[in-house]
Order: sequence, then C-alpha cells, then structure tokens
Amino acid sequence: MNCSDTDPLWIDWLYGELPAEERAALEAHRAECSRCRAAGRRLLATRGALDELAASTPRSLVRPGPTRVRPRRRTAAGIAAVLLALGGWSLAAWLWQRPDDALRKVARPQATAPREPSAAALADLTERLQSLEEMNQLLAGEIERLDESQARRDTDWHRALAGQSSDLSKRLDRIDRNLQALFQAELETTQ
Amino acid sequence: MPPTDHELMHRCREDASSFDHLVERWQPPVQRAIARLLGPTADVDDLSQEVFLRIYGARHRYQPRAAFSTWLYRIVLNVSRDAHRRRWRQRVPLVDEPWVETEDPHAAAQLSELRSGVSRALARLRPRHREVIVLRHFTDLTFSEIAEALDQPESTVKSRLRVALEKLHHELSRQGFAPQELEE
Repeated sequence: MNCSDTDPLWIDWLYGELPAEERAALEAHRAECSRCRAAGRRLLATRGALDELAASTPRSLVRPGPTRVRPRRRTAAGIAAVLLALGGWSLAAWLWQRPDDALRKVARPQATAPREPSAAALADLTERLQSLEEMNQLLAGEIERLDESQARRDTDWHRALAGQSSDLSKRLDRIDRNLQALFQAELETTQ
Repeated sequence: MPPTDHELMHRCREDASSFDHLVERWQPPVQRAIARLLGPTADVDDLSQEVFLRIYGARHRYQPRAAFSTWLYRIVLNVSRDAHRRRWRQRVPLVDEPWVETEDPHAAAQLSELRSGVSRALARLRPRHREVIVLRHFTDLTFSEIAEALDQPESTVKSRLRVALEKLHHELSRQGFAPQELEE
C-alpha cells in the first residue's frame, strides 16, 4: 500500500467502519509513513474536538417556548408584494363566489365529487383566516405609520422650502438696496 | 409502542394532532442542526418553523421510500441554504457555548474555550463542508443517509468529509487551538 491508496480509506478508518483486513493494511502503512501517521493524528484530533462539541451541544440551542409567528417591520416593497398577494387571493375568492357559471368554471377545476370539509380542514381554514386578519391589521398599521411619516416629511420639506424662499427674498432685497445705493453714488459723482 | 415517523406522516393527512407529535419529536434535532449550520441566531426559531411548514405542505405527497430523517434533513439543508443565500454577505454568527460544570475551574475554562474555538472554526468553513460535518456529527444519520440527503454518492460524501475535517483542523490551528491528539 502506498500513500495514494490510503485516500479512500481514511474516513471509514476514522469512524471505525473499515473492514479488518484494510484496517490492518492501513495501519501497516502508517507505521512506515510519517506523513500518513500525521494525517491520521490530525483526523483523530479533529474528530475528538467535534465529539466534544457535539456532547456539549444542548438538545435545543434556542430558548424554549412555543413556536410563533412574529410580526416584522415591512419595507414598502414587502408591503406591495403582500398587498398584491392579498389582492390576488381576494380576486380568486370573488370569482369563486360569483353565481356566474362561466366564471366559476374558469376559477374552479373540474371537481370529481362534492366533498364536505372535515373539521380539521375547517380549523385549518379558520386559523389561516385569523392569520390573514392579523396580517391585515399589521399592514394597516404599517401603512398608517408610513403615511404619517410621509406627511411629516412633506411638512418638513415645505417648511424648509419656505425658509429658503424667505432667505432668498431678503438677500434679493439687500442686493437691490445696495445696487440703488451704488447707482445713487455714481450719479452724485458724475454730477 | 409509539407510532413511527412514517405512521405519523400518514396520519397527519387527516389528523393535525399527529403532526404535533412529529414536531415535538423532531423540533430539537432540527433546531440543533440549523443552529450548527447557520449559527443560533433568532432565525433558528423561524427556520425550524419553515422546515415544519414545508413538511406539512408536503404531507399528501410524502412517500416513505427512505428513512423519514433523511427526507427531513434534506428539507433542513434546503431551508438553511435558502437562508444562507438571503444573508450571504453576513458572517455566520458565533455560538455561545454553554459553560462546562466541572470541579476544576481551570479545566472547565479550557474546555469551554476549545468548544468555542471549534464552533468558530466550523462557522468559518464553506457551507458544503460545514453541512457534511454537521450531518455526521450533529445528527444520527449514517453515511448512506447523508449521501441521500445531500443527493451525492457515498464516496463523494466521504471524500468531502475528509477535506472538511482537514480544513477544520487548519482553522483550529490558525486560531491557536491545537486539538489534543487522541490516543489511538
């Protein structure tokens, strides 16, 4: 056995899955080859360190508690995407409920047999509806917040513009007065 | 005798409480794997929820062809990869390793430091290398199951793991940790 022959054997050797015959051959080679002896020691040491870490890793690395959906701040693009999705969903629901048969055929796939929804499906739908309502409230709040923020920005902007405009008017007045004074002085000099 | 994972998956098509059992059974290992793949950020909660949502969404399509855990960890990998892509500019956060309770405070400090070092080194590996180490060391999957979860031949998994371990050792040495060589 030479060094290149050992390549496919190391992992099975490391995890004790190498058949006895191949293990003996590898050990014989390691006894003669310092490079492979070092490679084996590195692998064993790294595995030992990982075993140590795995042994200390808690069953769960996150705080215990029920899983939950947390509201997040949405960006304008995110809100637009959600609104589009809600719009699509509403349109589908509207199409579904229209008495127009032609539209219903378009919206609903050909059902094989009418089925009564099970209690679990109803509970699932109710939960989804509640989630949608919560999402709706969140979105409404977020849009209101954005509107307020936009209104504040608009007010600030107008105030700043008005201030700048007033400054400019004053400066123009001063320039005008200076020009008049210069003109007057020029006239007196020439007379 | 408790129901198998396959049975629970089959039952949860009609009965939502079976799915609760499945979540109860698998949430800790799933969170553990995600935390090791991405770091225990607050996202671990949301990502494990995403894993179970995907499983629930696929309950009607589920076919017990292989071990349930293989299928589950394939979903964990997909969710983790998606999350990694979403925050690819960010470094994987470090893990605060739990303090070790021993009688010798000096030994405890050394051990905790080594664990943090390994955790840090793991976080610095490329995702493909981290994945194979996490699946081998932080789950109960066999090599053939890891191969199936990664959709790679077993020989590729083993050679990738060899490279991953060498890189991990290199990272540890770079950080000044020289893992103690074990008695053979």
